[in-house]
Amino acid sequence: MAKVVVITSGKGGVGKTTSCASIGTALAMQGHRTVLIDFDVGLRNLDLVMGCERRVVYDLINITTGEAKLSQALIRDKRVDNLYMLPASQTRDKDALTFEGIELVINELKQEFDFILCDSPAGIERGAVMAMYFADEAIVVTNPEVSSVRDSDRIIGLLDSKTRRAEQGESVRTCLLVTRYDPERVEHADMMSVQDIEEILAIPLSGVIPESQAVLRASNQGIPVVHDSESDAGQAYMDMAARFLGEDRPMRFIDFERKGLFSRMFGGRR
Amino acid sequence: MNFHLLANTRASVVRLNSKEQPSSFQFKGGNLTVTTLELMTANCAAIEQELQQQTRRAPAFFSQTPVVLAFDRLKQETVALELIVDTCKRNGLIPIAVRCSQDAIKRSAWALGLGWFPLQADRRLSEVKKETDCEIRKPTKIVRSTVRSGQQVYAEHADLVILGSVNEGAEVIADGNIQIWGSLRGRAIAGAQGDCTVGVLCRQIRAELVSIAGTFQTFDAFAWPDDSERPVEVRLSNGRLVIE
Ligand SMILES: Nc1ncnc2c1ncn2[C@@H]1O[C@H](COP(=O)(O)OP(=O)(O)O)[C@@H](O)[C@H]1O
Ligand SMILES: [Mg+2]
Repeated sequence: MAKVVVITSGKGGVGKTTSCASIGTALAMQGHRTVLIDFDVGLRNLDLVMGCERRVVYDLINITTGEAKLSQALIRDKRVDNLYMLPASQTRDKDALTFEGIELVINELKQEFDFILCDSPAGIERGAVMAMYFADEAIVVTNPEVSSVRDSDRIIGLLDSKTRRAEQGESVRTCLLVTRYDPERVEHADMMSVQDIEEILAIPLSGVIPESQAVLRASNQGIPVVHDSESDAGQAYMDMAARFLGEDRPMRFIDFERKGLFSRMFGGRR
Repeated sequence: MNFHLLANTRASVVRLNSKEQPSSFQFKGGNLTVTTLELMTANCAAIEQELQQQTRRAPAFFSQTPVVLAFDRLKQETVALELIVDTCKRNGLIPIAVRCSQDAIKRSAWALGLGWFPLQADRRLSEVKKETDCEIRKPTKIVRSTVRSGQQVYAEHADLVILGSVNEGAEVIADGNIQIWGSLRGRAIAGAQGDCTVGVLCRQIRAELVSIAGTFQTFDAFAWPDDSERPVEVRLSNGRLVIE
């Protein structure tokens, strides 16, 4: 049975798109047929992070309006089998997306794929609600700071009320992904700890991605950071995807340790 | 340790003169009951006609009675305040101040020597009627999850139990008691219909606001003491909120 998963946060710039690209890539590497949908109309950048921006011809809106067929708009990933993406429109008006149009697209994708990952725009408005509406599961992305946690709290409230599952009296399975985590700054109380965030949001934690140079490097190259298996962030996304598939893995990269020579030589590259 | 929080701090006496000289006056704070004339129209003829009818019915009320003219319900930015004041005076009411958000009306009041009150910040909190005996209670309302930022829960004529936490930006309201099994980080308003015997209980308090029967306390930038990391009960005692 195909699963629709929304990657959402409320706040912008927390790492939704980065996470969508890497988790989607990891799922496909495990052999799951996966498609990523960019819902961020006007600010499309999932295609940049995936490194397929030059191959975009049609977009989500073209399909919902019948200007293109789904098969024409799907972009196949160069690196991983089973991985496709559906870009957002950069030029069209946000209101061109409709719930009915998206439902048709998602139903069609469900025939072909195991996982449909929806990369949500920021905010709590129509665009974000549209990205979450058909979701079976949600990955709530949060940074270790008060405003981000509060926005995520609001988003979890919306997942509990504004989704089709909620309207049918069912719930959307929700899990927490903390990104841009810097154990040193947590140690110095500049940032919130994973425990504090979990305590407030009260949903199960499924991953912690450390703040890492590797992420920016990867997005600039258009290669999802999960391909960089040497890097801490790449490994953390691998762990996250494994947990998402039900595997039990200990959390890494959450404790601050002053790095000795050995761990600097043999530990993950930052 | 128990700590007390003053709900509404009212400076009762302010002395302006030094000790040596006997004061020529004192400022006293306190509550005076003043009638508010809430206007639904600015049409003087209509107001006058209705006032005359009322005067006939209750002549004693309309003799030198101070009133506050409230313009909350009027959408227009300007009114003929002078004419309205005259109309009132002709009918035994003495306007002493206005209550409005419209700047033009505020300026007119100033020109006429009338005082000005801002609109009440939160009408729901200030307009509750104080009544100790409660109406028929309904069964306790139970919320089995965390109440999140932007969400509001209301238990009408009932107690409210939250099995999760009440997060920052969330609001829980009950006509009866409120019990929170997790942390209270948002707003809790108990006794919303004026029952002042009710309380707010929670496992940990980091509240933004607590209100009981309309007496409220905000905790903007309030540094919660360490011992608030334990179950607490907030009640109303002699008109003050007490946290124990
Ligand atoms: N773990 C991380 N470490 C360092 N930078 C990160 C990390 N995750 C995301 N970023 C950076 O943060 C910015 C916003 O990320 P993005 O995934 O586009 O967020 P969103 O989609 O939520 O707006 C990007 O510049 C990205 O490179
Ligand atoms: Mg994004």
